[in-house]
Amino acid sequence: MGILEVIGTFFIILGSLFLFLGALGLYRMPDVFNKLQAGTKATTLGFLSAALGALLVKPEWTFKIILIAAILLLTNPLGSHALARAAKKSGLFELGEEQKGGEK
Amino acid sequence: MLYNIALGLTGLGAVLSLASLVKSRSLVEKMVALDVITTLFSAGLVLFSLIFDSSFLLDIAIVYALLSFGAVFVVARYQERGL
Repeated sequence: MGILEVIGTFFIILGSLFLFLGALGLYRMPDVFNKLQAGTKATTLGFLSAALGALLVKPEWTFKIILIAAILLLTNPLGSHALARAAKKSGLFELGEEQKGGEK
Repeated sequence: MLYNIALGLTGLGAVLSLASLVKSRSLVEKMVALDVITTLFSAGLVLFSLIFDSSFLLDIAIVYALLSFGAVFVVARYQERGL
């Protein structure tokens, strides 16, 4: 077991921990904007960390792993932004009670 | 061994996202949960390709991420102003 494999396994465990914490935040948060904030960013970071770990463990798959990491890094914030804009423009979702009280 | 632990954590996150998908009522919240589930499944496919030592599962992960992007955009546009 080389040194690259040890570092890659560490990154994979770290990334899966971030993925789990992002899903937990998605489960716990009350609002749609909070859900977007918790769910999308943490899972993107977790996936990139896991892909970096896989790239360190298997250096012969570099092209495919970099391709999928680039695709996910491009498309995930775009989808999150489109969903947030749809939630804002449809007018179904208002701010929480705390923020409403602060605005008055 | 450690890959299996990482896969278990990812699967636990997928179960939590599925519970959030069932629990939430509006369309956009359900689509957020589906987006997170897709990211988790892509990471799970990468981990499966490490466990089985076969690189063709990475191609499936690429196609899966692209299809999920299209689905999210269609649902966001439908919620915004109709098809």
